[in-house]
Amino acid sequence: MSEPKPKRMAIIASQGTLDTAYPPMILASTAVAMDMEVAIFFTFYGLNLLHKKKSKNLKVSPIANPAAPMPVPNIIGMIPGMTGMATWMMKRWMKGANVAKFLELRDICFENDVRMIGCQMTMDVMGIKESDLIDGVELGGAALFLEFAKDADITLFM
Amino acid sequence: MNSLLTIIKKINVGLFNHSGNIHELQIQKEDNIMTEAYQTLDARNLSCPMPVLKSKKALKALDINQVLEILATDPGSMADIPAWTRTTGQELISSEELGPKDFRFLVKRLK
Repeated sequence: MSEPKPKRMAIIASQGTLDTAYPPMILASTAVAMDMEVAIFFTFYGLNLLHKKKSKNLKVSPIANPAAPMPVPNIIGMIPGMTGMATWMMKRWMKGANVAKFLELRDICFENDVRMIGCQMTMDVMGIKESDLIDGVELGGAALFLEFAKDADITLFM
Repeated sequence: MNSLLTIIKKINVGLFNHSGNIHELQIQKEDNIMTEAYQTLDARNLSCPMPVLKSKKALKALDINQVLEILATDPGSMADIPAWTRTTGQELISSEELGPKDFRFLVKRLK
């Protein structure tokens, strides 16, 4: 008797800030630990999460972010340096709560064969070269992602 | 007279059941002590999802039927470790809350 087909999860990651970088990586790494197959399609700003340089330096926006633990008025968020400040604060909170680093979670995803698909069209639009992205990324478009997602048990847009 | 006998019987049965339960409890306790973990994973001071990810890695390194002991401080692990074992078809032998933010799990690798 053959093994039952593994459950499958397909995620679209469309955001490129530090706070929005976590959910796809946390869910993808946990899903592979639960014996699921996972693919993440990185489109638009989501490509930042695969960018060699930018992914090491993700930021949190202090503007129009009223859900932040310490929200600042938009007019103050506009002051130069406030993005760095918000990012620093978030990193400190995450560290205080023993949350793994984004890059650590991404490494675990790669080690466990999560398929990372970079959106070719976005790369053309934003002028991102394949050499700008980390190794192990597949390039493709909507059809490549949908081929995987058509059999998915879980599909998430983030 | 008859009704008196029935009452005595009932009491007897009750006592028997009671002692039977105690016996069962003792056996369960001994079983828990008898279950020796082959390896201990220290997942303390790690936050979601790391305890589950590390548990998966550690369990994969064991042989079938070996037991992994997991120590964690993440309160979410009380819900997450059982969910992980249910989904992956491994056996959760026990989950204990030893204190506030102090959890211990025994997981047997079945496949």
